Amino acid sequence: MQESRPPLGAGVSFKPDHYEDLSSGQVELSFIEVHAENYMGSGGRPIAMLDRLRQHYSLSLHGVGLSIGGEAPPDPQHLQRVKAICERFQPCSFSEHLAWSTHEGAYLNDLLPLPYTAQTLGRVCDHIDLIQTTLKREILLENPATYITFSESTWTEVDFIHQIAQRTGCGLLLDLNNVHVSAGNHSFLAQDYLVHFPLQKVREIHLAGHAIEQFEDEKLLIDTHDRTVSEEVWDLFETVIATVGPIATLIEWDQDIPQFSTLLADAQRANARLTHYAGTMVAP
Amino acid sequence: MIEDVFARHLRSGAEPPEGLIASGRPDRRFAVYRNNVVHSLTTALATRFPATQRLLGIECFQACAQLFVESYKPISPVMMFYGDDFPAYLTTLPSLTNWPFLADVARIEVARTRAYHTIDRAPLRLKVGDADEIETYLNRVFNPHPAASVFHSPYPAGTIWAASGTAEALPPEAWRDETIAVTRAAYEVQVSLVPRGTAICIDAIGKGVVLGEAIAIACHADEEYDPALILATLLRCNLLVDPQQESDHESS
Repeated sequence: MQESRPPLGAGVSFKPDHYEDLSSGQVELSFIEVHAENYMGSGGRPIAMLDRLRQHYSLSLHGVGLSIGGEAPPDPQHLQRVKAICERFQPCSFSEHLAWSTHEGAYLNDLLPLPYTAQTLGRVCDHIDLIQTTLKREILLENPATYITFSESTWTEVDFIHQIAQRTGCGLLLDLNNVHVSAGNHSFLAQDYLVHFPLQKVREIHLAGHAIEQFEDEKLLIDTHDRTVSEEVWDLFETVIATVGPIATLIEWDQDIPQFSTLLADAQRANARLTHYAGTMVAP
Repeated sequence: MIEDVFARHLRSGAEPPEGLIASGRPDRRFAVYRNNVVHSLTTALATRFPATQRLLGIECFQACAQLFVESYKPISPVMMFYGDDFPAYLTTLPSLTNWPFLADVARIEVARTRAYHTIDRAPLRLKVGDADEIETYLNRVFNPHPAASVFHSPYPAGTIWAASGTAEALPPEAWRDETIAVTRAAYEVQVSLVPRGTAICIDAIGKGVVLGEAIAIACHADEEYDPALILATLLRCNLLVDPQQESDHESS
């Protein structure tokens, strides 16, 4: 089974707005990442852009549509699309989310939460087994940002994810902004979450920005990916790489896309910290 | 199952389902998911239908998009193709009865997205001076280019689409029907006004009719049309591919 492991160093999520900045390969980045579903056409400029960028950078594919946490198994047709795009682009990694997004054949275009129970654990593992068997590659599973939890949950999120990784052999994608958002929304300490998280299984870290909505009676954190990484999330990043050493790290930015230099500044900051803990890191 | 309940409450706009825990107000937390679903789907439509949105204005477009989203959820996570049914849906909205051309503008946008993402194929080219070979070509079967869509509108939909992207969009000078070809040259999607017979011709070519006969069918349907003009349009607008070259491409 092919491993999913982006190269050590910092990468950025690629948006077409930044193609001119990246197409010459002059910018030092370890990898770029795209949402797999945005490149599931059969040709045209998007595919050509990725082909060009692959000449310079490792490519990581990040799926948003397999609905791993759903009651129904992943849509076979969509799984074949994912397989085709993995075969087409031979990414260094394929990752997906601990969430569901499809219900009774309708795709809801959001990453929705699931209860953590023995039943849902079994089905999530079954779905990951199916995906990994079909793709013939290990996938990375990302921890979610959530706004509610379920009274029927009998597992903590960390233990649930740990069990999934043990049972399926999948790797993990640790999204530190998601940890921070969930911690703020559910009043737990992000550092406690990380103490128990199976960091040895983490192959990639995501860093992103979030919005804060302040109400009279509460503060709500929203996972927006529309701004620079917050200082609280940088602190979590420092904690993780100080504990387990450098891990491939992606700056995600999906809305209100900034000038490339703004995105790159966050990537360079991440890389500087990775380099610090690696002693002698390769580019960027 | 909580998932069934969750999905039902997302759709209905009702209070949050039982069994949710939130540090703050459950209704506010659940609203984040509901807003995400609606916002992400309407944003996908706005991305795919920019001209339609410019013509309607953002507020009106959002209202139409929200109504569509309630009834037509995507059946696939490949969002760039979400909204194929949106043009037809627009024709059902009573508030848009005075905008009968709008659905055809939206159809152009559907075709543009399809063309943008479709498979790369070199269009058929005839070299200048190939007059002796034209007879041969006319007896051959070609395929419509996979990026090509040609359709007729009883309104000046192509002109309106083009004007919507300009700073000061003015109503068309001539309010007449138009036949519109959406095609691709390399990676650039092109929208052209073409002779009406082009749509009939492409339809015949798609059914396997040889080129010369397809052109004759188009001309027969409307005697005004000039066979040379239709042939020139097919070539100029990249509407054909050579099946022989397609099979070479696939085997290479």
